[in-house]
Amino acid sequence: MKRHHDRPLVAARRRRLGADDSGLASLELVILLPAFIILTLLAGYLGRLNVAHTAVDGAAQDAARAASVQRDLATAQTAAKAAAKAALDASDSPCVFGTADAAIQQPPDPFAVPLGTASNVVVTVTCKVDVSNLAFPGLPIPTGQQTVTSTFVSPIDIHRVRTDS
Amino acid sequence: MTTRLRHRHGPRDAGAVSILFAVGLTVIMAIMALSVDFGGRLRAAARAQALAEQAARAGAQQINSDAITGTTATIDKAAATVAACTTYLHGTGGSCPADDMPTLPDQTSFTVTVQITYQPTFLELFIPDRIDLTKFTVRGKATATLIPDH
Repeated sequence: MKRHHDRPLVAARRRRLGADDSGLASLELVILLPAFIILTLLAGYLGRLNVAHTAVDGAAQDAARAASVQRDLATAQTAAKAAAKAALDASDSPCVFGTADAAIQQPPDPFAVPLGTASNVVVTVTCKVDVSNLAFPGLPIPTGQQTVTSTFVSPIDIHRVRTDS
Repeated sequence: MTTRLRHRHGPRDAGAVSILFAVGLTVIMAIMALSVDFGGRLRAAARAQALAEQAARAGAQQINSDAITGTTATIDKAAATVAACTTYLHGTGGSCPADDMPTLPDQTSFTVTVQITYQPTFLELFIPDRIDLTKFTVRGKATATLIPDH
């Protein structure tokens, strides 16, 4: 008897409070899904950059060592570029093909020191990573290609003849 | 009383999805921040190892001068330590830790440990002052050996 009395009252109160939830969940999904997509793309962006950084780190180590076994700056420059390209133009590299480059920090010319003196070759390797397929409206990451850089140092063998000195 | 109230208003689902999303997004963002920071730590560890290899090579070249006259070449520990820890590592971000200075396992080998302190990007934003930076100190160790000329 009491329930009969209550029912219309409950219905009326629900309508007044706006407690009807039908459709709300899907509406929220529509609003929040872009946020989720952006987050996924951001994760992909960070992951890709990390993979690229690791690859460029390794290429810089190769390039620095390749340069430090040479006898003069010009040959060392060529050797560093060749080593960087060999490491980064591989098929599994995250870098855009052909964008790998290496430069020996100078002056001073690291090979222009007397025999028996310690000297280091500092090589900076760069390449471009394509992030254009991660673009999304509202996503605050740079579009297009992004440059990744790494620097490594390799000592020149002190008893090795240098033609620059 | 409580039962009656709940019965009257009914279980309200409004906001359930947003709570799920808010919690989910926070967790995902925390995982992303951790993977960036620990990914950087891995790279620092690889760099420490590469620096240690080059430092060992730089140090092992400091051989005694009478090797020129034909006596067996041996490594000068003091000169090798300076060459590896000061001359080579200067400006690279790596250093020789005081508790693990270079050693000569024998007269023709030189072992160096290189340490790098990696600065996490996100962890400090979330919990500043709680981060133990020693956890972000990575080390690499390498030995260079002289090869006798036959």
